[in-house]
Amino acid sequence: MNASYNTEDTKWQELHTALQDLLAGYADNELEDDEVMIVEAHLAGCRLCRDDLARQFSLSHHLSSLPLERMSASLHEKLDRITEQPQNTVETQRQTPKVSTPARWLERQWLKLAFSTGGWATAFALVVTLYMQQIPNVPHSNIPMVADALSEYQTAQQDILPVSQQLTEAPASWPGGTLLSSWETSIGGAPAQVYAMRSGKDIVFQYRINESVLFRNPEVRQAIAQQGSYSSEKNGTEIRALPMKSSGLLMVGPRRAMPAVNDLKIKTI
Amino acid sequence: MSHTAQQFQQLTTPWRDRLFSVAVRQTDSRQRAEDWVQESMLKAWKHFSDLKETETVYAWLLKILHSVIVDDVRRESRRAQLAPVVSVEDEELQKHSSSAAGPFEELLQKQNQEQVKTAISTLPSEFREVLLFRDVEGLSYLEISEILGIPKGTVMSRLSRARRMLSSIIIKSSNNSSNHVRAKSTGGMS
Repeated sequence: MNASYNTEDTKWQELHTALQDLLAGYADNELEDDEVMIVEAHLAGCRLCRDDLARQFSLSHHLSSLPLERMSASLHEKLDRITEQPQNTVETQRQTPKVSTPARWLERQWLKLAFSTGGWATAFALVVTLYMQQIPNVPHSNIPMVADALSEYQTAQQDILPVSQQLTEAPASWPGGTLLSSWETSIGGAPAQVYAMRSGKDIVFQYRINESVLFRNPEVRQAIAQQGSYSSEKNGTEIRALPMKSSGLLMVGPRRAMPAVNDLKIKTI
Repeated sequence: MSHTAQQFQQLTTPWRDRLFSVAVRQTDSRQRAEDWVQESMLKAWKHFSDLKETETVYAWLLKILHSVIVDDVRRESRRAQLAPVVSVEDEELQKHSSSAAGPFEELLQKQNQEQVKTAISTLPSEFREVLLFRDVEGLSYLEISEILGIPKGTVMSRLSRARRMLSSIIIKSSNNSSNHVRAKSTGGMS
């Protein structure tokens, strides 16, 4: 009887030791369902592990609010000039195919479609897009996030459009809007994702931006509070800003290509 | 500035200070942390074409920073020592009343940033890194496993142990300082 008790005790001790390495995963919701069941069963009868788990929660919460440490201004200046250093030649060559002009991208799509059955109608639409792009003069803005979005839109229209290897779903969709490409950028000093959309015979950019950047400007804040969205138009280019569930949406494009608000389907997650 | 250079600066500039934050919490010297960040950014620029479309820029930069720090520490022949494994039965955790859930939370609230930073800096590097990536930088276990090149299960066990070690260090140091204050006040009375 004593031997049986010891065996049980040893097994419990082994489990107790092994589960201690899973407690962080339990606190962070990173365990599989079966692991959760085992940990919860053990926690019910083990005060030491319950206390440890409570400390893990407290510590994790406390550390998440540690303030940002800032580097010196002189290092920032050095890093601003770091791109003056030569890159690895081989890699520079490898990088070249990653980007192409919008016209080249459309040419490639046209060729693909021209040789596939049933693609003639779309090919015709792309030819229209290719030869009829009329880009209005892009205006400037005093709102930093708008200025950033306009600047990137203008650069991509005149120069190159990165080609994404994998397209994720754009935050907003509308009838006739097709996602062409997506890449990372920076809007208002924070990382953002750009989605280049074909809308009719024009290109409209969508930016998924940081929520704090969206609400930073009082003019934008007020417009969103009163009308649900911010919009402005100059020289035929329209910019719209809308709140999403935990981020913001910026749209830039020729007014004629911007979808009606009622046609917009916005992903809420 | 070329388009590639412009794109590099646009993508990496927002992360510079966060990268520095991670670096400076792994050394006593701000200068050394700045050297690590500068070397990391130079490597990032030289290998900019390695950045995959699907990869998060920050995770990519952290991976480079990690390799720079590991190389530097190895150069100094300061190889990671075997870390003591702190279990929930640890004596430090058990002998102080502040190890219980409520009192520990109160103890944490009383810690200033410098005390927490010092406590983190005493952790062995492989535990400190996982703790910083998860609890300070908010990365997922999967991202951390990719940055450090270790399985997700190892991330979890290191993190469990890192938090336990840190709790033990904080409890011990707070007990030492309260004993010190008590000794001083007793000395004053006599």
